[in-house]
Amino acid sequence: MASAPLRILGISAHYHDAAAALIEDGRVVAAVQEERFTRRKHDPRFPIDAIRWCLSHADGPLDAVAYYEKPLRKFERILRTAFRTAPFGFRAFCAAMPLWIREKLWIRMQIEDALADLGHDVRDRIFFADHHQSHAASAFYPSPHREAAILTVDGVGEWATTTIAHGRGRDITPLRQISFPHSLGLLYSAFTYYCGFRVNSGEYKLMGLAPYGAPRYVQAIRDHLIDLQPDGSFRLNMDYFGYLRGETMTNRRFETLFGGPPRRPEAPITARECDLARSVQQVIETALLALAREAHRLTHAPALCLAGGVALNCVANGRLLREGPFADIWIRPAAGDAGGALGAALAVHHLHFQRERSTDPAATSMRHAFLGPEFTDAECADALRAAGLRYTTLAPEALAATVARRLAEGAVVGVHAGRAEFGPRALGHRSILADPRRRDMQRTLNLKIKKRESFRPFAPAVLAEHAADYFAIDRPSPFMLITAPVAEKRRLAESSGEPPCDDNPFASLVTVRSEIPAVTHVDHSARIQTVDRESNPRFHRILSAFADLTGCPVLVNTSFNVRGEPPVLTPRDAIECFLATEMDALALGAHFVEKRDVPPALLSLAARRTFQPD
Amino acid sequence: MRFLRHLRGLLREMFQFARENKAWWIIPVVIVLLLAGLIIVGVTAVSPFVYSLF
Repeated sequence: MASAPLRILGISAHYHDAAAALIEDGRVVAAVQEERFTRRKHDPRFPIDAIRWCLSHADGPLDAVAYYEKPLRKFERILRTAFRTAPFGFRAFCAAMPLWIREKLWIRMQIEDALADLGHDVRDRIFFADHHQSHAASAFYPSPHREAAILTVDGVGEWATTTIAHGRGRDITPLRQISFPHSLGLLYSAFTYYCGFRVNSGEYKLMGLAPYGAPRYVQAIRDHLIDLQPDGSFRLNMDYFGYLRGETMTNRRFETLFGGPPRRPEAPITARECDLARSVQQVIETALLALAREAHRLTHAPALCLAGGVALNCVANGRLLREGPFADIWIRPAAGDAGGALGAALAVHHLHFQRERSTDPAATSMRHAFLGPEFTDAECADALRAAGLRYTTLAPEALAATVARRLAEGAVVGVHAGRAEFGPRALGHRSILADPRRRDMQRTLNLKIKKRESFRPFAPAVLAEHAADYFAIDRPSPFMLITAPVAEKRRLAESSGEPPCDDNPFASLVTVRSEIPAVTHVDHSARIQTVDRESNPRFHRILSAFADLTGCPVLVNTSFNVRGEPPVLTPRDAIECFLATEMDALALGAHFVEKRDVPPALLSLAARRTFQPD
Repeated sequence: MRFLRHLRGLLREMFQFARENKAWWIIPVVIVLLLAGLIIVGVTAVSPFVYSLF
């Protein structure tokens, strides 16, 4: 007799990227980050809005709640660290304690109370997974593989910072662990901090900066900061880091090693920051490749599942795919802590309740990341009317054709349609689109639309059936988590052989490197999203219409937000973002709005909006 | 009542944790911190920006 389906809510909170996820019988029903509701980027607070929304999709009472880490174990690590470094770090310790004493140690009570308010009695049905177990589960169970090596790499969970595990059927067997304070995530964050970006937020900027620099500091990093062994194990030299004391990521000795104090946020970026970014990126890639080889040696599995914040480093992922020992790698769209909510729920489903996985994971694997809220065309129309905007309502094919035509004319178009993406990448449902063939498009998008640094690269979305024609990639990349080079035949001669320039690291930004310059990074790489008709039909329609018009099946795809804000969620968020930037048009559900039709009074009001640094 | 039930639950979990991990030292430390937390009610709960003490 078949067992009754289980309904489990997963929660991650109180660190960064709080989120909730609902699974029924092992199938993901809903998942969303709290930041999308509160409009506070990486919001760590208890995700009550996300929980409420997930539960609105539940067909019945909850069987269990899974929290993504073990608070007491984490608290033990914090106390041990404080004792080890005392009396230094006393200030940071005092700053952290109130939150722990008032909230984090009481997470069980917080969950019980919140869910009781929402009509669910979950007393004695709250489970706590290990942080890295949550990551591993989030990577393995939704993958198409029955057997895989699992590598989780992040800043730190309870104690673990890096783990290797073997996934088979419904079992996940831990094999290796590296513990705090030795952490690849924290090493990368230390350089993020030192280069003047925000920790836990600016890491992807550092990754984008790397191709502008030269790997001048690799030897210094390997000699002084990290002892990296051929089997992937490593130790950091804590003499150079400040994070044990909890105040800064790096210390005076680190500054002496790299020739000066950290760059101040918003100060000009120099060749030094570019070289540091390139160097630490190279070290991280070397470490990940060694870890992948060790995971393969231990498991002999055909595939690798990857999770943890470091798995969002798509440049390293591309190298793992090209140079690593695995035939395939699979990375979750929300590989960071937000995905831990989903992972915890899946871990409880398969490991605690011992429910089997699908007999055919390849058929039931997660093919898209559209797990968040959606809004009807009527709700979109209401929001447009409330904002005082004129719009045209179109059938799906006509809307795609209109968007494609405007893109081909050089317009920047915001698209808001269907269920929101779970995870940091916009994959076509909350996206800003543009024509990648235009040489000025990267600069235009960065400065006029996204209000951010001009060096930041943009990612291409390409029709899956034409991906190999434009990029050196031989498999789908639906979650935009792998970089690959632009195909040789699409590159232009003008771009060959430019060395990084010391005086102005971004001088090469004006160079046209390929037929699609707006999405070709200085090293000819691109962070690719492949779009197939089955899992992403709306976006496929737009890309197809653009290809029909222009012969180019590629578009710039960037998240629908401005600097310092999370991607838009509601129609109202989208309208506000559309009005506050120099976006030319907006496709909102079935409706299309032209900026030129917007009353000037509305635009001048929106222009007063200020944007926070991210 | 609800608070007392949760306090009992927290202490039970802590004893279990201390026994499993042979970390008995954690019990007096947490109790002192909890008491301090009850006394100091006006401290703003601001977390530092780096990982280790979060």
